[in-house]
Amino acid sequence: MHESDDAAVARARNGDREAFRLLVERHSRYLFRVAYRLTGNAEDAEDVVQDTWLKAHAQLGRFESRANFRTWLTRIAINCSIDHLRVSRRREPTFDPATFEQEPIHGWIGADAEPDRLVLAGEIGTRVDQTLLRMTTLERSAFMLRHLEGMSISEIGDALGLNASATKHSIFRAVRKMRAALAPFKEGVGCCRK
Amino acid sequence: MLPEMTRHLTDEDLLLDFYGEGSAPDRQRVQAHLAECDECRALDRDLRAVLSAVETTPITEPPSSFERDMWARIEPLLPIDRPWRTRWNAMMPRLAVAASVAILMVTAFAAGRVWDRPAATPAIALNGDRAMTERLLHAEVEDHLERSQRMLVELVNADYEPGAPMGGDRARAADLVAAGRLYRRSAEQMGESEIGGLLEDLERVLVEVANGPADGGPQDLARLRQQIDDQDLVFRVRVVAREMRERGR
Repeated sequence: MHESDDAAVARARNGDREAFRLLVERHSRYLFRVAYRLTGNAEDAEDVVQDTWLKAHAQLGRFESRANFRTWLTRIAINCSIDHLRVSRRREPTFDPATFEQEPIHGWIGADAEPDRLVLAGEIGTRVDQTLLRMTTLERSAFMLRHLEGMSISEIGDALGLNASATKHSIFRAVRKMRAALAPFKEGVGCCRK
Repeated sequence: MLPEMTRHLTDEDLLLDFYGEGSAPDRQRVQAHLAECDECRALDRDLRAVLSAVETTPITEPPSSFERDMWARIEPLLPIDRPWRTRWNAMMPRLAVAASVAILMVTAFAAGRVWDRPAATPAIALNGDRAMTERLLHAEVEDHLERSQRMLVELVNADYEPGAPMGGDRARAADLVAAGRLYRRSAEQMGESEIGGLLEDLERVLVEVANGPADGGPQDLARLRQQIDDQDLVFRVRVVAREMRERGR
């Protein structure tokens, strides 16, 4: 029988290790996706998932059963990702947006032969990744959770501790940046109304 | 034409409509406008093209064993009573294990110095001994690092509670310091300078916890956290523990 998150959380709070294990097995893959979107690599994402569970375990007593457990976990995962990025960025060369702006664009979507299209698809993927990293963590988190995880604006607001308006505006700013970054790849893509 | 129809749609209107987040009247207004306005339809197409480009960016999926592996990683770090571990601890205190490993390392090191000269066959046997002692050291250091990591994570995440000792348990920190010293000496003798360096940095923090005031104030906790943060200690401990784990596979 499928045990609900709430029931498993209640058991885990009483020190039931198997209940906590059930939660770990149920939500770790989702948390990995969230962490991967925020950190940009699998190894960091795994570490974030580990930190998320350790924090969640330590804070289970503070979880309010009225809230959605996954949303609560997401909030912890986002905070852990932010901590992780802060530490790892300190040891990596700083990304310079100026060089990003000057990177050459080699083509246009739909305008080239097949091999070139593959190269172009790779370039677009790279540009998407770079643009995500240029966003603020809040913008990136809000956008990723809405666009790729399908969370509602209200759920994202809960996870990020923002009101609906601030959440919407984080998503708007993220999309605006993405449009501007992808504009050179296709005639019309990302162009804004003057 | 209705006045509303003359007002072009904004990116925000289109985005909320795309995500199905607009209210019912808003959705009606957007759809009605798109049906009439070429310019906004083009804008909508562009927006969808951008969003679809983001969607197709690949994500690395973790292996099918990910959930099981994750549990294996975190389970030893959870502060939950585990009877088998408690019994084992009663029979074989960690310090005794550390001392045994240290003695084994020293013996292997001394044996290497005495027996290094003879030819092929003993050397092979000696290499085998060395490999065995290295594996033993790595397994023990990995365990030590995981227990230390748990303490660091508790310190970093702890809320300040008046009257509560820093790190939750000064005696636990003292045990880790004592065991860590033995592992550090063993590692240095085996030429594992990276592990030795990490254990030394770790020891400095653990000594602070072990010798700190019984009721450290919030400033003591903040200073300790700063020290952990400045040295990226949690990250480094995790990386080396992972290396140890992979070498042991």
